Amino acid sequence: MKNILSIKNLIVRFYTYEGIVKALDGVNLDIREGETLGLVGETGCGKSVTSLSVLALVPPPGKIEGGNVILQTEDGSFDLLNQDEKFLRSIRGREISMIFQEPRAALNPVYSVENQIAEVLLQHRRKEFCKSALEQIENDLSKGSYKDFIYKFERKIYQKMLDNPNSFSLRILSRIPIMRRYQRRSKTEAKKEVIRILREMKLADPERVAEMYPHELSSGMAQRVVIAMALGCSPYLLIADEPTTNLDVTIQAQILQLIGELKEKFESSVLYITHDLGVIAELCDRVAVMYAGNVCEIADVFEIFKKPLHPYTQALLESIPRPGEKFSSIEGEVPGLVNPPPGCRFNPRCPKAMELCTLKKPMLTEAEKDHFVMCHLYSGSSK
Amino acid sequence: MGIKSRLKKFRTEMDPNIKELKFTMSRIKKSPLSIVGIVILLFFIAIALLAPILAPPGHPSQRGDPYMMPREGIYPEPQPPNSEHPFGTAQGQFDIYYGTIWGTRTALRIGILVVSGALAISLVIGSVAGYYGGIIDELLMRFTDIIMAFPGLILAMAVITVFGPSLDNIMLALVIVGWAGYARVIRGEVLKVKQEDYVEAGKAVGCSDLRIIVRHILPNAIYPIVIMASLDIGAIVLTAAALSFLGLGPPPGFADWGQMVSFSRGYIYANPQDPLKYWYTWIIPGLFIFAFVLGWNLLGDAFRDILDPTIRRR
Repeated sequence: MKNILSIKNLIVRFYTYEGIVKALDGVNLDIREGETLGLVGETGCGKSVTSLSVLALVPPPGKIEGGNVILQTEDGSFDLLNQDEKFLRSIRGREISMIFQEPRAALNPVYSVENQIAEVLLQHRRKEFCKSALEQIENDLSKGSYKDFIYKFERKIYQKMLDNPNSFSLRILSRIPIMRRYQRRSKTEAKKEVIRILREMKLADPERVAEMYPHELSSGMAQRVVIAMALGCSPYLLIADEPTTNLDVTIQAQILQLIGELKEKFESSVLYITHDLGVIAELCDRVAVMYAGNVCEIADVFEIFKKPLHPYTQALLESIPRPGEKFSSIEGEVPGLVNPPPGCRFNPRCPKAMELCTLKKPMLTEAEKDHFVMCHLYSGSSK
Repeated sequence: MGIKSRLKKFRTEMDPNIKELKFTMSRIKKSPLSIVGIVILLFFIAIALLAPILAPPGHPSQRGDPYMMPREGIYPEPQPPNSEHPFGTAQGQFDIYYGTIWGTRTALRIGILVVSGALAISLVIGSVAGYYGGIIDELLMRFTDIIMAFPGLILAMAVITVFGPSLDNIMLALVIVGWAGYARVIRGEVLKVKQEDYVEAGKAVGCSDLRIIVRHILPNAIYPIVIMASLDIGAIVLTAAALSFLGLGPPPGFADWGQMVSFSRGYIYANPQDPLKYWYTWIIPGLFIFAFVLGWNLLGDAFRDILDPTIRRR
């Protein structure tokens, strides 16, 4: 299967007052076409930073210091880290889109649902709406009325918009009162599309939801709206950053099911970030485990749960609470990333640590077929 | 298509807007104070529009300028209200009635132009500084600090002395002095709002910086400023009055409430037997200023109720 996104040796550092935080230390990750990749790890291990780097949106004082993020699209492959801002803007929301953790905070409180989703659609799919608006204008013209001169004027504008939606003269025109009414047609088209998408999100009464403001939505509804916004342009890759953390369990189940179904329908790949191993087991095809800025193990979801190789993954699975058993946790603490331990970053907490572990950082190697692990215990066999 | 069906089509098209308007009206109805504010301001706007009818200009002493108060001679002592001068005359026989009516125009003009000018400058500077941060923020905010470090009235006087005394230059000076405070507040609000998830989400769907600022940050950052501005429209009329009192404003006799109050300076306390003998010289223009400032203050709250969707749909 083809990779649609490969992250290679990604290094991200945050320059803070306490020192340089080495947040990502050579992350390697491939996302394949049509799969759901789960990204698990403790809080602060770099899951969210990884996802933001994919969109080149690491917030300051963070800096992407090295590596490649290669996106494969129908038009070829691009390294997202050395593209200009304009190109990135056309990628964000169109090729790669993102669902945020707190759905209600991710919606702007001053716009209705309809307006917010329409904005995203108009940003990336304006040409489609222009075409259907043009059809309508032709339809109105064929009827013939005293308003013909307006329709002809609108046709001219829309044809221009179809050629170059961001031309200077149109941007001026869209600022002039009365003149900017030409935008109504494309906006009504966009709003029709919004209702269609909301209906696909299985929202009851999408027409009513469309007119609501974010604070009127329940958190489940808000998350559906956010998902609708993310899937509005059928992206290649959907990044879901803990989308169900703040929802209660029944709604979580509904949302997970929805994401699963929509993924099939929109033919997208999903990068699902969570710390909940139960969700991973339910939703994902493959799992990547992260620890302190490194991806330490990537494998098929069944493989990970049946036969984890990395000592950290083993410890993580041990610490899932089970009824009747004594609760176990991982000894020690997540290391501070200003001065991470030398060698393998897990070595101070690792029960199987060797001398080599404190000296040399292990490489991500394929220990078994399609099962990558970053640990000295398994690198010997491949050498 | 007949008129009836066209009207029906128009109604269905405009339905969401009409609903929104109805909702706004119902909100306003629930807070009687904002109705009072709106009524007061509508009253002043009506006076301003109808000024030529309420107080027809054309007195020979005006020399063709309708904004100059007509005067009957130059006798210094104010005259009480009579049939010819319903509010009496001020020091120098300026007609108070004419002055208050045409002064409404001056007050509205000063208030609205100065505040919108200051808002325009501060919106640009404050949002750019807050959004981009770093060195841009540092430069713009230190410049703002310099402006704020001058005592406002003295800076305004300096500006007017450079450009020459006139009403337009008073307005210019007040804009130059006034924007800095707004810019600070806007920057602070922008700093707060830009941390919100929906701004991050906006970036993640590919919005440009300009779009993020204009569409997503400013609508959420603007409420404190709208309220501040509507309060200031009243206060600025007072500052302008102070400047014209210092002789930096329009020539004496210009229809301006502030100037009319300063005319009455010597007549507030008349004499021990009849201390309020000249009450009309300061109470009448004072009442106009009071009502004008009050109206804008009440409207400030109404604005918030109308504009902020999170407050309106509780």
